[in-house]
Amino acid sequence: MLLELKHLRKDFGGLRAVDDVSLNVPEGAIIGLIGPNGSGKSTLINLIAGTIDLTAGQVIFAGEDISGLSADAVFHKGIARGYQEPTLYFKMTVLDNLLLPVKGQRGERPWYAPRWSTWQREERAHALAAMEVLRQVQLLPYYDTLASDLSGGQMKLLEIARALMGAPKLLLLDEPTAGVAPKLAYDIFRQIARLRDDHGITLLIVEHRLEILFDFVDYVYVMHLGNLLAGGSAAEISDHATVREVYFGD
Amino acid sequence: MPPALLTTSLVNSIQIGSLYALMALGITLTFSVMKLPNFAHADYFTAGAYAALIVSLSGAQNPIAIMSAAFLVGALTALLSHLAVFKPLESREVSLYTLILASFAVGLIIRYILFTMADYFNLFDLRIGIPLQVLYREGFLILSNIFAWVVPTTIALVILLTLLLNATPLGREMRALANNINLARVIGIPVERVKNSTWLLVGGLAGVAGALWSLQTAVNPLMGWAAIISVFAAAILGGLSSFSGTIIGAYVVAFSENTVILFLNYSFGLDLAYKPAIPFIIIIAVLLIRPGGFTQLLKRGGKLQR
Amino acid sequence: MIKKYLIITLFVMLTISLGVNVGAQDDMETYVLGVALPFTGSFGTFGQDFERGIDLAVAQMNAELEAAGSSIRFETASADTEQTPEGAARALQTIVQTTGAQVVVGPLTTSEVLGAKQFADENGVVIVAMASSGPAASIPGDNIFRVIYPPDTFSSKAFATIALERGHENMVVLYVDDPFGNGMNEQFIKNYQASGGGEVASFGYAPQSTELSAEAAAVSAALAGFGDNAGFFCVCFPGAAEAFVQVAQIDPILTSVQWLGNEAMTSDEMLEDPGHAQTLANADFVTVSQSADVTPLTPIFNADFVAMFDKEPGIFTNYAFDAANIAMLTMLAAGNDGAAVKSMLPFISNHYIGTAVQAFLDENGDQAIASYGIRQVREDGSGFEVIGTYDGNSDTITYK
Repeated sequence: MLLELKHLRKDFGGLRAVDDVSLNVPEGAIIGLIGPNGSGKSTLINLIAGTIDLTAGQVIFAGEDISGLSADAVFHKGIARGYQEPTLYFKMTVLDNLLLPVKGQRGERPWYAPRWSTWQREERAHALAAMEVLRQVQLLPYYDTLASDLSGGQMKLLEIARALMGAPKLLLLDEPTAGVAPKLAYDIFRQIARLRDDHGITLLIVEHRLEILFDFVDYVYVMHLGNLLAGGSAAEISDHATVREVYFGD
Repeated sequence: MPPALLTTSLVNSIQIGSLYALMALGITLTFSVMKLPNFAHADYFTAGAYAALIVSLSGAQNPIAIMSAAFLVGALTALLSHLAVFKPLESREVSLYTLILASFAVGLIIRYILFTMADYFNLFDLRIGIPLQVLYREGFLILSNIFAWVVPTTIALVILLTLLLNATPLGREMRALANNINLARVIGIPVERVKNSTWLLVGGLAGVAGALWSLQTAVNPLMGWAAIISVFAAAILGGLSSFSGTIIGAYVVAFSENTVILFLNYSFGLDLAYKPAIPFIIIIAVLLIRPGGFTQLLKRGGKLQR
Repeated sequence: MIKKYLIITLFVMLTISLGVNVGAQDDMETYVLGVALPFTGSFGTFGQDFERGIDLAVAQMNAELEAAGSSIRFETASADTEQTPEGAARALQTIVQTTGAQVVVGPLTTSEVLGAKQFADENGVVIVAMASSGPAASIPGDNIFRVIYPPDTFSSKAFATIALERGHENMVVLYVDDPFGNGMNEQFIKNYQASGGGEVASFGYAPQSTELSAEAAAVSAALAGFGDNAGFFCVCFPGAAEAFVQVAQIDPILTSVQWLGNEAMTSDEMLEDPGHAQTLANADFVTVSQSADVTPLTPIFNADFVAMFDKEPGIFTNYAFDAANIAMLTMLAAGNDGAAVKSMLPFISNHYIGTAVQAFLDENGDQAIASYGIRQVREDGSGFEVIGTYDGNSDTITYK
């Protein structure tokens, strides 16, 4: 298992947002996480990414307990994430956004930074790598555009591209198609699938557009009121009576 | 206004404006990257001036050596104040007001360390041993060797700083911290290291400004504190977020303190002793009329953009 | 909570131990002599040296009292005035409220003295100032005595006379905008014009200024406007004086006229800088300050000071020594009581001969004996030499 969650719990004051959730994400899988609004999906993503603290439970990543690590430490363990609202450096160019997460750049050390020759070659290599990632997500023509000038779908793609630059093992995506036109949404998922196929990245995806999600996922977990309600293949979940009741209101 | 007075005061405005710019850039940088209006900045400046003075008193009159020493001491003082005070406070997630108060306290501590040292070695109101000379004289225009040091040094440092910020990985990360520090953590930017580098840079700039200032006036432990309000006025004029705005702000403040007041004195008999009121008037006016300062006027909007 | 109790406990222990201390020395009586001086700011070095002069006076007095078998001892309680009027008021209040002192030696400048005045008058505390000279503090019947240094009404007259003797038809004055500078400026203009001087252009600078290039530009333009035969008079504090000379030394107008100035322009720091020294020398710089006349006590004071502190006393440090002696002698005669000291202090002063001159007070409680030295910078800028004296009481200048 790449990621194991063991009895995760998160209380916000008196509210129990996540209640005793345990689930497994095998390596190389695309896992969907669905549930009605307020069911605790985004909280769960934040708990894994280390942006909020656990109340109880354990996060095991690649056999290592990473519960309680800070967000940057979790990132360096190999877990990247995307946001529901595109979260980018909007006032910086697309290329700059991709170069920021590159680990261990010489030019970020103050005594190297003024000495161009010590890091220019390295910088060029990083830029080429970034251009390659941009080509894959079809953003290459926009490399010198300010991130704020991209469309909503392109911003989502840029987030994914940025996650790739950190060479993650696991990518957490929170509604990658929120606010995106249906055709582009399908494109985005095709890109996501290629992340797994071409780069071997495991994915945990929160998504509301089940009709698209179900075409791509290997396994789906359903959350309701902070609890894990069910788990199964796309077909099983579609037919699951309780799920249909809470989710589709049948 | 007689032409001689106008010429002299304009030269003074440029010279003093350059020094304000060096200091104010540090304040803008600290505010953007660290979200801290740092009043201890004044005392990095004084520490730099004392470093310059001590190097000069020990016999080395090479301006490069003097300024390097000032840069180093200013930078280390700033980094130390971050590691010893601001960083522990930030990790406790204290409010902005606490941080501002802490910056006052840090400034006081540095100032009184310098007082103790100045008292012990009798270093009050001394000057760097570079004599003032007239380099160029044409009619009313008189340029001194100090002018020739201050203005080109400032221009060079501003260009270097702009390059560093816009064309190096370190600058890219500093801009990222300025825009969204939480995102910076999530995408794995070494936030603490970038902060340390920023402090070194900020303190170093202040130190060099102190060294240059001590060519102009006498060195004493209060010199930074005496200049800080003018410098904050410059930074606030620049909206505390853009470099170009801050630089324009610095020259506007210096112009008001040197040329405008002399014009008012000459034409309307306004007392020169009102000079210290000018930066306060500027600060209040900016906050009332245009809180974004020149940055708003420049329509750049973005933080720490070019 | 624990902290609070700890502090209370410490306080109680402290009080008890102090009580025990006093009890142990049974019938000894301690008079507190307050010391309010600027220990920080541009006058900080003066303040610290003055305190040493006061400590020397107290040590000598205590030794004599012990030898004579007296049960009275003096001790000092000092506070920093931060060289501001508010700071002086705070310093006085701190001293009086923590020690019950009835007499305070200090503060230094006139603005500090005026800042401390209200508290002193309202609480019956006597202030014995040693170097304040601004006419603004010449007030009859108050609790302020300025026992050594005469008010600037005298020295301004000397400056005006010298300006006229030098043939200055017009004058430009740069003065520190505080009671001392304002008083000197007003008195100078009055005396200068009363004796036939022409126009005077005055520029005030803010007291805390450390950068005076705008002021120098204004002074230069005003001098240029007056044309030939104009002179310049600088009434500056240390620090500001150096900053002014620093920018003035490349000004073509300022370097071509003659200068007068107060004693802050004659500091060691000023002459250590060759450029500054040369500027003053070219300007035939002349200052008028209280005479460094010598009395039989002067060499003894100097020797005792060196013996105690292993350094030479700074300028005017002997005035602090004299002021402390007058204060202590009055307390010995009148008791440790503000009202009695106030009533008796003029009598004691008028019978005191110190390290410089006799202290003889006028109706304002200010030094009435005005004996000044006129000093000019040497041509090579290596130092100052006395070129004459000015007797303020008869308004006569005598050149050597």
